[in-house]
Amino acid sequence: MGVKTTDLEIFSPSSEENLQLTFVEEGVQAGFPSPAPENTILTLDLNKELIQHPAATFYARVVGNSMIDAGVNEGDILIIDRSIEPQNGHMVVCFVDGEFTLKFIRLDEKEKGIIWLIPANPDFPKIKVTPENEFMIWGVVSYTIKNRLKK
Amino acid sequence: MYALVDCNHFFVSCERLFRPDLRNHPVCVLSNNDGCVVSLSHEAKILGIKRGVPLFQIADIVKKNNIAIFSSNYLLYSGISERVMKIITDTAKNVDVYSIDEAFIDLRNYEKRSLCHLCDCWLRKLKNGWVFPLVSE
Repeated sequence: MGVKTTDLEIFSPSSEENLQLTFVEEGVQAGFPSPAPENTILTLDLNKELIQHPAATFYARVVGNSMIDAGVNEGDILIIDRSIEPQNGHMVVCFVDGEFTLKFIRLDEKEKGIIWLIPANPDFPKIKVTPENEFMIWGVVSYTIKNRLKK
Repeated sequence: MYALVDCNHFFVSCERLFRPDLRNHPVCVLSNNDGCVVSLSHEAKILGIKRGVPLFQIADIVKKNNIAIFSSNYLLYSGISERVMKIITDTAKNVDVYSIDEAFIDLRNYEKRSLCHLCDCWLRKLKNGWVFPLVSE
């Protein structure tokens, strides 16, 4: 089950199996290595960790590079939680004038009812959304997943 | 007391989830091999289309009103159905999932107060568009 659009390819998660992987609870320090962790090895299931509301969650694969300055590149995976109430500054999958697109939302400070869709790439324009546009926020991006081996 | 949850034009709602542009547009979903209309939106009903009518009989209305026609996609519908039913079964006991878009809920063991809480919980989730709106009776 899925749908392909210009900016995104949307999927439904499959969570038939759970996969418990070893998890070091102290966290991984991005600086000096910590001494060997003691007795804190637990397991972590990514489905449980990353999906708070399974009935409301979809995945999408990013197409294009309008969000590269936010660290979101083509091929990255988005976790979209439709149960989250969108707020100023959220990264969202929205639907504007017939197209799905991935942007940050910003409410206009002066003009009420105006929403700005902000890309994270200077080559892309900001989009002004007024009540005249056909517009809906389809879902809020809760996580982005990136392959660190891909160049 | 029992509750019946029944989704409005379920197949159409599923198709609209990925086609928000069709929110207020007439939409029909067809049976296997595109024979008959099995699910139709409110806007299509207003145009005089009835459930079960063969597609060839309404070809003119479809063309004239630019009605969006979908072949049925049961993989999509069962995936969405699972989500709807999960919202219900996560919060209520004694749920009988009756069909792809209907469920009966046995509410006999609920006190009035917890029943209100349960309904509030569903309404909140549905209002936030977890999947899409439902109508409960």
